[in-house]
Amino acid sequence: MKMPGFDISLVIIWALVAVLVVLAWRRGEGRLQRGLRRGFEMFLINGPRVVVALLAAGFLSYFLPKALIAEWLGHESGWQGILIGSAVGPFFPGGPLVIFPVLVALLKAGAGLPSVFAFLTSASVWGVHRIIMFEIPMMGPRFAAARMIASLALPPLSGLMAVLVIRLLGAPAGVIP
Amino acid sequence: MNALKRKKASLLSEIFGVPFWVFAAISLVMGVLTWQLRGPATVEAAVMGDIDLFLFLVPRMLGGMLIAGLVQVVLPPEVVAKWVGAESGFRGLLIATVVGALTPGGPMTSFPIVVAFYMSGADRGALVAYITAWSLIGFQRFMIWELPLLGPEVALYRVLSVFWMPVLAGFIARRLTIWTAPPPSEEGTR
Repeated sequence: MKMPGFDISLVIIWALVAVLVVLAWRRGEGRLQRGLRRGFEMFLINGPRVVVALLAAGFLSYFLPKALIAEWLGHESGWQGILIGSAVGPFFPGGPLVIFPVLVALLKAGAGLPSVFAFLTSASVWGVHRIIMFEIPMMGPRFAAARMIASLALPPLSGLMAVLVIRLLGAPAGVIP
Repeated sequence: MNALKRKKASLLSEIFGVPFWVFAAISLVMGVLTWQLRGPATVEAAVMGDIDLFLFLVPRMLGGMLIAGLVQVVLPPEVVAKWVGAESGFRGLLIATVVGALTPGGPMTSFPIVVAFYMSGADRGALVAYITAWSLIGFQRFMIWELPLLGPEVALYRVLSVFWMPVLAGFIARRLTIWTAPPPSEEGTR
């Protein structure tokens, strides 16, 4: 388990905060206060949700059939893992709050990056929940259909690209089964 | 004074709203199940693991949320609308991709923006590129969730794999306008 530590992601995040604080402050009209207040409110709202979501995902990881996931979605699973990842992605509602804890649990259980990337892409571009609740009511069924057809190949392509990137750069540390 | 109180109450009710209680109920049920089937030691290990992960997340999430809040005041939606609404062609797809990735917030923020572009005659391909970029490589999601939870290496691998996809989706969507209805204004189809 990672411990709270000082790494590159933390440096990038807070460097960006600093840049934006300067930008907002220079543009004035209370922008800095409004932006900071919005950020803190988002943190207060999402923090408790993340705590309970992570708790649920943590318990879930003990019940996931690890052997089955490693076999179906692992690095050796090839096309089959990519297609399974693409097929189940759209049916995870709730946005990143649900998707990312599930991703972490899948990776812990031995899933490979190609299937996980395919899963994340299909959850992102084909999320049924969002299409039904927002896209069809606001943009109409024709637009939604055109967009879905246009992004049909993206989930399996993401898995294929993961295979390519891993072949080019080597497997990233910490996710090899 | 009264308004301040009401604001506090609405923030509290948002913090402890439906999503919180749904996840709390799920984790309670899962916790009891784990206790029954795997024993208390497993429950303790799971909770300790989550505490570690959460401590790791707090400084990153707070930073990510501050970035999201500040971007919204530095980059107002009207400016964003001007960039994508006016442009088209390959450059329009690129601009839509960048702007879509930079748009913060959930679907309740981004879809109203998409509708605004659509009504002002924005190109269908640019709209598809925008939605794809927002949902696939959204900067806010990347900062708040992907970077801290998956780590910089896996996050980089994913960005390398998918960053070009919004342009592809927009390009395909533009070709599809042959058989789908044109947008409400004439200049939308090319």
